[in-house]
Amino acid sequence: MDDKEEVKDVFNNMVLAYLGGKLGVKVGEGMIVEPEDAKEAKEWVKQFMGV
Amino acid sequence: MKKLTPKQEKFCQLYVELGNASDAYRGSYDVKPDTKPETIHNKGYELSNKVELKGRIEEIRANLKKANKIDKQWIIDQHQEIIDWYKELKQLAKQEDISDKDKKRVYMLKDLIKGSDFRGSLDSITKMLGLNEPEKVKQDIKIEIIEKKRD
Repeated sequence: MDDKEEVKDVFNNMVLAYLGGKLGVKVGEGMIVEPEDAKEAKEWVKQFMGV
Repeated sequence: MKKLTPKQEKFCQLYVELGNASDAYRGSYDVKPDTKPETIHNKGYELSNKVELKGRIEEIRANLKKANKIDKQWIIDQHQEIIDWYKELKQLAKQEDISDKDKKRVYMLKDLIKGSDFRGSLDSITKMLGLNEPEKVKQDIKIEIIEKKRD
């Protein structure tokens, strides 16, 4: 796995972890996530990772 | 230590509290309304540099730190805690399967820590420990002198 893919993986994991924590750990396959929650999660992870 | 006058003592207390010699002078000495700001500044500066007052100012500062249990190590520990939270978040993010418990932890930590906090804490510790001073590199410089013959 190259660096770029690893960063992407970490980013996605973090987004999922954030959403899981926010939505009471119900995030998984087939679960519906509201767009504003997904946006909030991505924004936070971007800020956290400094990207 | 030489005993201070009540005005000098008040000056020291105010200097520590306000962090400004002119303001401390205004609050502790009888300053007339028409006294020039430069005069106040000079008087305050002179007082804050007198040996006996300097010693008392340091003493008050030390007592304050002791009373508040704040010292260099305490500040470093606080920064270390921020760094540890950030490292924990990063570690959680790298895991392939994040447990439900860890997801809750990530969501809780996100309110406590931002990437900028981590970088800020690293900067502060670096400065406090003097780790940002340029490294001294010893260099041997050879100077070659080439004599040029005149034609």
